[in-house]
Amino acid sequence: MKIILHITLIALTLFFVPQYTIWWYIGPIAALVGFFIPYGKTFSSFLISFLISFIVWGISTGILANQNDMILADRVGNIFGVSGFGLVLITGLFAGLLTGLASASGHSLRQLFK
Amino acid sequence: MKYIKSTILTALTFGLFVLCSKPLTIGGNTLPALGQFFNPFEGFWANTQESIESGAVFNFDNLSAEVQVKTDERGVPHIFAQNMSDALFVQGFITAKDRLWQMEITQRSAAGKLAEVFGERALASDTHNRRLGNLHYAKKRLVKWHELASEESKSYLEQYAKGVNAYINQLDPKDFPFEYKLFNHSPVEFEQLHSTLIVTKMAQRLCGREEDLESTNLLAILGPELFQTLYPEFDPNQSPIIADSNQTFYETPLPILDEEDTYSYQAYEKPNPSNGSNNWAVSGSKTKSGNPILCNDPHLGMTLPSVWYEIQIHTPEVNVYGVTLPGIPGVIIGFNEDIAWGVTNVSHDVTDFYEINWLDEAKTTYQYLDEIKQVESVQDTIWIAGQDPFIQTLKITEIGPVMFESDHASDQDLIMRWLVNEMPQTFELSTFLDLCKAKNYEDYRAALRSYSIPAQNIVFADKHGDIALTVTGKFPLKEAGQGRFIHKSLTADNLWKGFIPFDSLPHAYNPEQAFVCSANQRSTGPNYPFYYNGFFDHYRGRILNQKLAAMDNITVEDMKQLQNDEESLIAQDLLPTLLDRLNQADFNSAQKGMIEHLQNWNGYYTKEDIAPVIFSKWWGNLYQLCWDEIETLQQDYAVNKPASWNTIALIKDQPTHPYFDIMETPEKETADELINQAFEKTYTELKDKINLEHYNWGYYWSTDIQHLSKLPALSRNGLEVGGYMHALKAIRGSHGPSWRMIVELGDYPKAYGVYPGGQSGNPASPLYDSNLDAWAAGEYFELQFLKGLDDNRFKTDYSTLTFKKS
Repeated sequence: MKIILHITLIALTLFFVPQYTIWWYIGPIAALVGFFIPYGKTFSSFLISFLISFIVWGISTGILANQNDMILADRVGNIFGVSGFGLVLITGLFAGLLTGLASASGHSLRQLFK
Repeated sequence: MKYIKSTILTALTFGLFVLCSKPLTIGGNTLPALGQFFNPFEGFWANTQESIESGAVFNFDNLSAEVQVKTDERGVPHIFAQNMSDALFVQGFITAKDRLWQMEITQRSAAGKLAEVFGERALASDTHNRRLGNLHYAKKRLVKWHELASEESKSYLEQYAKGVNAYINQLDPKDFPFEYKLFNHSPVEFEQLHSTLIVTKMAQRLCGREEDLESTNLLAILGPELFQTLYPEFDPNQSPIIADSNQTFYETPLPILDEEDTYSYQAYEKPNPSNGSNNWAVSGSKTKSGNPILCNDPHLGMTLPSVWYEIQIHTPEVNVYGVTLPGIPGVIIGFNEDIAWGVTNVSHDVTDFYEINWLDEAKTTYQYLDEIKQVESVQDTIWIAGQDPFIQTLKITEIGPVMFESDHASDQDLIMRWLVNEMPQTFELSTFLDLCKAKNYEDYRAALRSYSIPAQNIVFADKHGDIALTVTGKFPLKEAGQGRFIHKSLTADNLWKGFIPFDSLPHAYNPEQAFVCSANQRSTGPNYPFYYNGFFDHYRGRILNQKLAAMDNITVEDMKQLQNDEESLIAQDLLPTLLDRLNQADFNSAQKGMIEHLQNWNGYYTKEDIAPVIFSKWWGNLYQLCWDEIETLQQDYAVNKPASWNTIALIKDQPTHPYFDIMETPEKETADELINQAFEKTYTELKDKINLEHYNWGYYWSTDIQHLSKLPALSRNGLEVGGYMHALKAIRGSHGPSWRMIVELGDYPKAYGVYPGGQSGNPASPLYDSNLDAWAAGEYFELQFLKGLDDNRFKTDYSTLTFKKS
């Protein structure tokens, strides 16, 4: 049950927060989720948040890139030395890494109170 | 243990979030704040979505009636309004929709405000543009425009700016153009001053060339006789725009200077010499249909987004189609139902330098004729992204800014008088606004009266069969030879004595030859009574006159071919001499092969051909060998090498001139030896490449269409298109035909055009570079010059926008 709540909260955060408020609020929110809804060990918390964030940002940008026939993805990818598809992956990894770390930080802080 | 783990994790997370929240500078390049940049909903990914959908309706209280915009499949907006004021408001809005970032960068570039965005790497350009006085004089120019313009034309400028701002104000930050996100800034409000600055920028490109410092140094070092031989003013082979029956030019007398009259200043960067253009109009008597045809292709820096923006404006009084610079209301090159017009640059030298006579050590007062004048000191702050601002003091005199200041000899400080800094006597933009509604030759001439900078050869044709060309603009009245060299003092004698009256400007109207044309060559033959000097083309004008004279029964197809003509007379002028003087006795088969390529060459710079590579390299090497003396001088002084046309003349006529001797060898070389040495060098450079399949003129002379930021990812580099700077298809590096237009007049005009880019400035849009491949292939689009809102002749599925009065 906890995992479903954890997944749902992270997914909703990654989808709505960057659209309507300041993008880095995902950090504190993911940390709170990691703290109050801990799942497994710290690494599990990282992994689950990482995967969900990767999927939410990866799919969102994948859809945008595809609707745009990869025109902008390929151009911006070129700036970073990757393909357009590579850039979609990077966007997912970027979200995954940040959210995963934040969630793991929350989780590890909770361990201090055990 | 768990404390350590938790501390490390939290610190790492916090650090990463902070790092991704701020722009980063790595190796001089600024990266955007990565978190916001990658944010799929607000960062660059959001630019994949159109922020305005077809069918959208806007309400603005700046409008007096409803305006409809139909946009065709190439992204060209066709604006249907009830009056010009409404149309220009919407033009501002639509142009901003497609080109907002470009408009801002262009005005910033002119104003010297690029470092605010790009940081220190733009500081040198900003400092120079501020010293030129661009921002200072643009502000004054705008005040003057407001004084001079009629209420109606004043409102045009105002409405355009309001339209741009109406677009900016409805923008959500997620819809900011891509480059704002990449370079981490936000749109600034568009002011009328920005339109003025964009005019200044164009003028800087087109009439900012001068070589007073370089010529003065050369004359002082070489003496008058040698200077006259190496740097004559008149090319006897030229083919002026308005020719006389006689072609004998007389050189103007030179001032006496000695070596103490040199200056140790470094020359500043001059506008690209390839800024130029072709235009012509042919009478109905020379065309197959009997209708006049007008053609124009301005050669400018070819960039993405393109320098030009295509548009149609339709009101009950005006129906006009053409291109303009984003930031300037109306149409600059175009046609309406009755007339067509086009421009090429005039390139007269309109910059003079004077030594300033300071009256105090602090350099606050100076002698101006009989008066003592106070210099206007302007504390000029240039903001730099991520750094403390740079502050410089500009010194402005009665006739222009102090451009050069010596740290050891204040009597060598130089004032620059530049026509662009002179206050206008008319509202200059009204020329183009008047041309938009002109109906005949009289209207055309009346429109040109208000034109001043940058001077242009404005060609004209109308449906009644008239053709004309006027060398248009403000030209200082000068004594013979005045303004070629730095003036040692500022006197009533060497100041400009007014301007050439409009009715005395060179001008052709329905000439007997049944065509008029210009390609940046000298404006007039020797009989023209007013003196001017400048920077003139020596090849395109000649070939254009020859080819047009030989043509008959002309069709639009012929005109397309002529705009894409790759022949240059430089080969005809030089190659026979080179081949004749080349000692081929001991040539190996590869060298003989090279000669054979050249012997079989027709002088066309075609992309598949190898001969132009051989010739171009041979000539380049030869030119280099000829002027080693000048290169040595360049280590100590600002000096230029002699012109190509004169180098060729000297090689042919004075092959034993002492300057052909290479200084560092004991032998006494002549031009013939240099020709042989240059060939040997060319052979060494080419022998391993010449047989490679991809190695040809197209590859060697490839052109780059670069994004304004020069980022390769946003550019289209390495296009193999052929052409040559001295051919009508005048391509050199990133310079070339930035718009090709052909208009056949008649009952209703038929027009064709293409430019190397696309209507949209958004790199995510298919319209970002959608015209480019057609341009590269020499193809054209038929321009959809609509008769009215319901004109369906082009069978296009237009997208629509509606602007309502609120």
